[in-house]
Amino acid sequence: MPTYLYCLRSDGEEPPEGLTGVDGGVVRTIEAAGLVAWVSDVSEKVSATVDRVKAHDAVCGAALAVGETPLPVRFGQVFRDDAAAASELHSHDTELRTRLARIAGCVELRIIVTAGCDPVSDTSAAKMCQQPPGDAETPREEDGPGTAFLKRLAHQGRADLAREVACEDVRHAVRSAAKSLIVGQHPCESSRGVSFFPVLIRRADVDAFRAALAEMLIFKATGLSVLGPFAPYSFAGDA
Amino acid sequence: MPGEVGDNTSLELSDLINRVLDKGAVIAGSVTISVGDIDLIQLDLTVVLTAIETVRSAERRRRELELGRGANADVPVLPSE
Repeated sequence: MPTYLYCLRSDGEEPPEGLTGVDGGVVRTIEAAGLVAWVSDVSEKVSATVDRVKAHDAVCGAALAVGETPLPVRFGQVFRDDAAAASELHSHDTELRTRLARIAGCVELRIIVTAGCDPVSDTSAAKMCQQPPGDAETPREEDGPGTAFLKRLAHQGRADLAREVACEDVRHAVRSAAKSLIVGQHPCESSRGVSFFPVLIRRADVDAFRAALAEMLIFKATGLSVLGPFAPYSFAGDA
Repeated sequence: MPGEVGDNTSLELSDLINRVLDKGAVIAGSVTISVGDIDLIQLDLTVVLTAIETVRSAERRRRELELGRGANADVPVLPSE
């Protein structure tokens, strides 16, 4: 039966009794190269659904709640059987241990920017929003439906860009305000209508980091959220 | 535990999908993630491939940078989709 992989850890913590994952499979462990992998059985190729993605993340979240920080694995890692999974882990042994060491004792927080035109003046995003629209955005009576549609897209494109720029403003401000608390930080990314950046924080510093953010002027702008703590997906080594 | 400022279910779901589909360690050499019959993401350890939308975003940024250096810096860029 195929084996679905959730996360890896270097300590021997077992999943909580009765924990289930993708498609209701009971989560169990296999050992390979001195690492412990949390896995479950799946019956077929695992395509992405919201329920499956949630199940995957719930298992990684449960792994984060016990023992050392696990190395979360990306959704969709299915192997022919336990032996095939163990073989792959053996073949990446050194690399996986390096990644585990990099995230040891840490969690990921994700700072999300949903609005680009924030009320904080003198930011790059605010200046961009204040620029008058160009001809490519300004609707006119003589515009046909196609032109009108493209102009709406152009207007939306400016909003998307403003949001991305605002995200970089926030990222630099966060780094300045909480530099000593940040173990790792990635650049802003944009996807599915939001811009965000992940930070890697020591578990013991999560509250202090949140407190530092709350004191920041830019953080008080609208359109910001902080999600987490999560298993450090963004610092697991790929992409 | 997740969520503090602007707590929002749809935002959390969007972030969950971004995080779990786009990030995390890849162990197997090649994985294809599909929704229904449509392959969304192909991962390969030797080639940097990522979500289609991420690629589009990178392309848009590149175009914006190019425009920013040219005479048409104030011309808005049409999204690619």
